[in-house]
Amino acid sequence: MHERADELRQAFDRSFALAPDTATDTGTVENLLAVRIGSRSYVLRLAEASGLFVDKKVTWLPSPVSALLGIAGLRGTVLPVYDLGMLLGCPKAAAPRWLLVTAVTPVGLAFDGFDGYLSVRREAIVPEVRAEARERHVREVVQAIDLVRPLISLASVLASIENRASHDGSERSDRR
Amino acid sequence: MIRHWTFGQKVGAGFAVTVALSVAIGVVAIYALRSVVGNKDRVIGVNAQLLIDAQKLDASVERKGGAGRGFLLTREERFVGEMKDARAQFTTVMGQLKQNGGSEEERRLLAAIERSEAEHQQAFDQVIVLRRAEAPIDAVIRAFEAQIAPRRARLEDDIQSFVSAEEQLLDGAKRASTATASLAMTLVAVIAVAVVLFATLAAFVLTRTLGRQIGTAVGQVQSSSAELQAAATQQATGSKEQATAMSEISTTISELLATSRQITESAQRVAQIAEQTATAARAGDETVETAHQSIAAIRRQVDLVVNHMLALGKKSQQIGSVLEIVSELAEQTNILAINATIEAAGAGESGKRFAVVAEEIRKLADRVAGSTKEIRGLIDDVRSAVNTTVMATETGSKAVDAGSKQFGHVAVSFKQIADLVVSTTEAAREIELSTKQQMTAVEQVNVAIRNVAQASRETEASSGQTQQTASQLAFLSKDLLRLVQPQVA
Repeated sequence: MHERADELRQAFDRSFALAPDTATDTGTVENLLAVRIGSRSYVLRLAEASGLFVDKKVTWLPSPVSALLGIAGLRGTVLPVYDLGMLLGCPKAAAPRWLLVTAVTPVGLAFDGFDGYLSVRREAIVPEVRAEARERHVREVVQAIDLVRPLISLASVLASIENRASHDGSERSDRR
Repeated sequence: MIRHWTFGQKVGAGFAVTVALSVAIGVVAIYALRSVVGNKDRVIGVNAQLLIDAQKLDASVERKGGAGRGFLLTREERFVGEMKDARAQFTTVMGQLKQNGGSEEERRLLAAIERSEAEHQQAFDQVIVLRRAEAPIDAVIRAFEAQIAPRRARLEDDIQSFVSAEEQLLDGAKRASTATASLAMTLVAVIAVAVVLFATLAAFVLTRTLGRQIGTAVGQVQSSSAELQAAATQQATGSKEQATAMSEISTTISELLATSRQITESAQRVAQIAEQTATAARAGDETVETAHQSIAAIRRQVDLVVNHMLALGKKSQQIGSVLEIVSELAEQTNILAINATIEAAGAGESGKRFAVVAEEIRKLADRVAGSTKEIRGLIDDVRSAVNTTVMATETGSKAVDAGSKQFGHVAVSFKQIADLVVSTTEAAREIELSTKQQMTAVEQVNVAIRNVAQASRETEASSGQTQQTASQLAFLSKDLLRLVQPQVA
């Protein structure tokens, strides 16, 4: 056990002794977050996220949007929280534990599990060409040596939320 | 009941009845004789005496009349005295007659006689007075004829009437006595005839009964003699066979004697082996006891192992709890590192170094998480191993318990074996002793068998004698039957 700790300590120290990774610096590497929604695994671009949280309290809010779980207070900001699985078209499941805040428009997206942090080369991210495998908000897929996961486009997710919000807002304006 | 009487009882009963009838005859004869004697005495003592007194009365009247006539002829006074004497005699006899005459007729006749005599005396006194007055003889004779003679005739008639009456009474008494005697004779004759008839009948019945019973008994004696003869023959045959069988039995008993000796030797060997077995059983008992103690020690060690394993399980659980905390910390660290990376990316060029640190922290957190998973796996393996070990140990403990119980049973069995071996030893010794006693008894039986064989030969000889005696008895019974029932014989 002590050897293992020493090994971890040496690796940690060695990372600071070595020169920075040029691949990361040159932008040829994509940082991803591996997540689980239901029984399926996906990846998200870390660049599209502004924060990752776990076990945050979500206050339920009555809404006609079934994917809206409620609102949550994060870093002094009140954010709407959506069920990412329902936005992808999956049926409603139990309350998701993990919460990701998008970068461009701060919106909380809840999902069931967090598998880890991935760094893959950009060449490993390829467009999804299989028509039968295409899902909502999935345009690309990560194909590494030991990994094949659909890549969820958070921009597409946010766009659909915004479209839905603007559509609902116009309907409310029309009703007025 | 009479059927079951003995001969003596029957003969005695017949004689007793005959004697009783004879005694009855004697009693009746004595009674009849006494009646006859009584009648005779009464006839002689009463009736004949009354008749004699009547004759005396007549004689005194005649004497008084003679004396009176003498005075009338001679005028002598001595005839008056005789006359008084005669009259005194008359009075005396009359008194006796009154005393003895019991019937009314007699008393009436006596009263008539007494009146006639008084009138006759009165007439005589008047004529005597006339004669003393020296009256002429013719006047005296006339007075005599006129006064005395009729009264004398009446007096005699009265006396004669009394005599006749007494004669009739005497005759009646004689007839009554004769009738009583005849009745007694008839009764005696009837009883005598009855005695004769009974004696004849009894003799006939006794003769017939006794003859029949004796004949039956003799027949039975004959039959029994024949059976006795047959039995004696069978007994002789049986005795011969018995003697032969006794010889065979004697031979068999000799073999039995040899077998008993072999049994005695075998019993001695069994006793020795049983003692050796008892020694081995005691040694086995001690070994089992030692093994039992070892198993108890193993049992304690197993309990200790179980306790240690349970403690290890608890420790593993505690490690798991700590590991949960570490895992959670690693997860939080990972989240923080990711968020730091995001923040560093947003910080532009200045955040690059910070991004490196955050990346390393994240990697470290990933590794810690991986190590945590690995440790959790190891802990799960340890806990699983502990559970398996505990279960195996409990199974072993149960097996040890079962083994301990089995050893207990084995120990009990060894003790039972030891006890049974002791019992076997005692039984073998008892068998040895009994076999020796049996040998002695068999020898005695052998001697007894020889004696029985000798007795059988003697019985055979005596059976021959019994056969001869039975034959003689058959002849004797035939002779006796010939004497009792000649027509049958």
